[in-house]
Amino acid sequence: MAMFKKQIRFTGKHAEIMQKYCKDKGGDQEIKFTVSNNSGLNKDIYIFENRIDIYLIGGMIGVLEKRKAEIDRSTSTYATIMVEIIDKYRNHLNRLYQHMILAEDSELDPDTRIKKAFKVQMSDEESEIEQKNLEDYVRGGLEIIDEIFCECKTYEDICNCMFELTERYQLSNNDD
Amino acid sequence: MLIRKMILNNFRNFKNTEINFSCDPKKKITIILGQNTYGKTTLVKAFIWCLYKINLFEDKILLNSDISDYLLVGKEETAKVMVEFEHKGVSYRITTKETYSRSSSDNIVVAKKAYSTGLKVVEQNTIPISENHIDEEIESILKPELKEYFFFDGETNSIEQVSAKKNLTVAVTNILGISTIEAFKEYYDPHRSDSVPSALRKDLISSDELNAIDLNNQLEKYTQQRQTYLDEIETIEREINELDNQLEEKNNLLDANKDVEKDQNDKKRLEKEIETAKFDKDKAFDRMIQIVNGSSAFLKILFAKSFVKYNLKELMEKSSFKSNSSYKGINEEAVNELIKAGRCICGAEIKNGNDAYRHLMEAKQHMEPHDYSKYISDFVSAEASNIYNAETICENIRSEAGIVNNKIEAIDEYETRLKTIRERIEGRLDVGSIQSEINNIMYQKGHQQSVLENSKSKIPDIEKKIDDINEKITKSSEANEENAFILKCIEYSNSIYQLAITQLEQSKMEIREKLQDEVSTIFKAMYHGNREIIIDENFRASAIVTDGNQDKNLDKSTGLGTVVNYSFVAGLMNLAKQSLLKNELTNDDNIGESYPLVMDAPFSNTDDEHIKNICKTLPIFCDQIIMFVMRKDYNYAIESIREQVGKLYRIQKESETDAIVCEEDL
Amino acid sequence: MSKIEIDKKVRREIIKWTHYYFHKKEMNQWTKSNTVNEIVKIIKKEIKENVD
Repeated sequence: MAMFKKQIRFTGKHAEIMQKYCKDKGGDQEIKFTVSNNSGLNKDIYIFENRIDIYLIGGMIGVLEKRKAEIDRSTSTYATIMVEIIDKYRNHLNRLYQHMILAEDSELDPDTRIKKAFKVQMSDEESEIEQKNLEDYVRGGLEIIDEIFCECKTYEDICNCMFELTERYQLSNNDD
Repeated sequence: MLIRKMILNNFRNFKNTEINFSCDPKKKITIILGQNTYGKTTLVKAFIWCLYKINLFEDKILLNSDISDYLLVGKEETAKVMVEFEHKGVSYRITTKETYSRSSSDNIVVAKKAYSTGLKVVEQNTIPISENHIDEEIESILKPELKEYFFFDGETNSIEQVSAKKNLTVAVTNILGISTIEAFKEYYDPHRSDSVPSALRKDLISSDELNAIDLNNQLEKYTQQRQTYLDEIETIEREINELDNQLEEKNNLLDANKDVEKDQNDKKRLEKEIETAKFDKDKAFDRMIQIVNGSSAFLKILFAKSFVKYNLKELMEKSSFKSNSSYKGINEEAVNELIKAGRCICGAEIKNGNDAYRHLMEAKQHMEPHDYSKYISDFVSAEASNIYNAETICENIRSEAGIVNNKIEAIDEYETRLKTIRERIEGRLDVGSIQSEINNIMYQKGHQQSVLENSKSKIPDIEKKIDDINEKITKSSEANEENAFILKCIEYSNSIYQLAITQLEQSKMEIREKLQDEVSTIFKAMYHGNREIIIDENFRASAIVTDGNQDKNLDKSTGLGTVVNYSFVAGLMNLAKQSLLKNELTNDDNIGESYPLVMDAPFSNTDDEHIKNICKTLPIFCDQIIMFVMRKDYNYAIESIREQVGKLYRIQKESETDAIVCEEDL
Repeated sequence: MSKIEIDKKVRREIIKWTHYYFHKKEMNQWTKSNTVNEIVKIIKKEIKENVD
């Protein structure tokens, strides 16, 4: 597949979101995620270890919530995922794409959808379009993640968000 | 001795005061009411000044400040105290005055130093006592050592000395006359260079000049050494006594602050709990994040969710790709080659449109890269695994999150409790530091005690050396007849010394036994419980439970300690009355005499029952009791002591410089 | 040291005078050496007069 061959780069507020919630911070400006202790001391914490993790999870959340977002260039921040990492996580990336295609409301019949989801060869153009599509979902998911966690000021807040997340996405929960 | 009356004029803050003390044998108590700073110490010191002309005030000006403020240059004013008392049927009136004037440099100075006049009435004859003889007269009435031990302090439960703090052993030996024997011992001690035998030795004529000088030098050296050690010992004993006082003070503080100790322990414990809880919280939080990230666990939950939410299983089942229709091990490329070649592996011809061709075209849909049924089944089984694990993973995340929240709640609760305790402790004494102070003092005391032991151990050797030298001197003197006389004198002197030594030990033992009996009798009259008094060799009294175990936790607040101390004081006074020591060294004229027991705040540490008992019992053993009491304590005790009180006064503070004493009705 | 017989009456007399001088010392601010000297005089006197 021609998808996931190049390094991934996010910009603007989505890049900031990535950096904020990841352990692996980088870029020119350090964007921190800080909570306060009982004793009023502030501690920097993270939710996700790598940017690829938040990419994938953001993508799935975007797919589950059917939320997309356009590329943002409002700030000069950027966040990059290197090719080596992408290679390592190729299986998960493919799986993400598959879920995206299979879940999409479309007039396509099951067979066509399945063929599209599991398509091995794709032209460069097609890959680019599909990857962008996927990344729209990722951006949407990132925004949702940020919406959930941005208000967190204490450990308790984070734990409560975790409760919320697990509840939202647990299987026994029948939404819509 | 009974005090009848005291009058003060312009003396300290008493401008014009007359107090008539109760001498009624049925009502021996005189009460003087007043707050703490009102002047009761002044009254006691006034008494001592009048009789002994000893000024115990820090500021030596005895004249009332209002009076001295208005004193013009060149003019004089007098501070005066008059005391009337009775002794062995003779009435005495002693008046002591000190005159002050304002100097030209505007200072208040003594114009005429304290001088006393006296009168005595013997069988209705009034006889003046000349100034020269007043001191002698007073000393014969009231043993000199006793004047310093007047004051019993109810606040600290001790025999407070008005002038200086000495230890109890010294107090008792002085009061009970042992000091005379000790004086004998000192004056006749051959180990001292300033003693009678040493003076006699100086008269010995020596036939061997050089040897004599040498021996005398050695004698000098050793007696000096001995004296140095003795001085050292005295200093250290004083220091140890001081340390003991400090120890007692601090232990009392500890007792009074036991509640702080509990709080401090709780505080430590809570602080530890908080620390542990914080640690646990952090660990749980880290674990939670770990679970989310470990092997992309959270991602897989989302995969599972998506699978379920979008009914992907159904979707896939709706498709035409069935799992059993997949061809493994062969891909499209290989089949294309076969088609291109026109012939199958099995040999069949492949031509556009024929069966083989059609079969192959159909088959291509079921192999890589179109092996959709395989892809689907892989997908489904992967998601099945994710679905299987999702619930557990969610549970684990929630569990850790729950722990974090619990710990946070616990920490909040602990910190609230901690805050309360901190507020309670604030301003209170730090029990921990008092304890370390105590430990420090004990360490110092231990050190001093070993130095003391060391010094004491040196004395016998030196004394032996001195004895040896004296022996040598004597031996070399015996040869010379002229020395026979002096040697005889020395022999008598030594015999007196030996007498003093044996009688000292004996007397101490006797005194101790008698004191114990005396104090026990009084104690039993005042306290009804299963305790007994024992007096140790340092004359300290303690109460032991009758089965012989010493009760270390003498609960002062119930008044047991107070009762013990009162019994001790009363017993001591009573003994002083009797002529105790009938032995060769004591003077038969030296019969003891009782004197008034002056008590400061005697009821502040006692309860009802004990107040009653004290007030009933003390008058049996004391001929006159003068009590300084705060009004609130008096009100509390009044029912119990009303019958015993002969006179009631109150000190009223008109101003800082003016106090008056008014009689009140009983 | 030689075994001298101590005449108890003489000793008693010495003791009595010692008391006297103790008393005097406390009253009149005599120094200790004054007292010692007086006592020495007394001892010598008593023994000279009353002991063979």
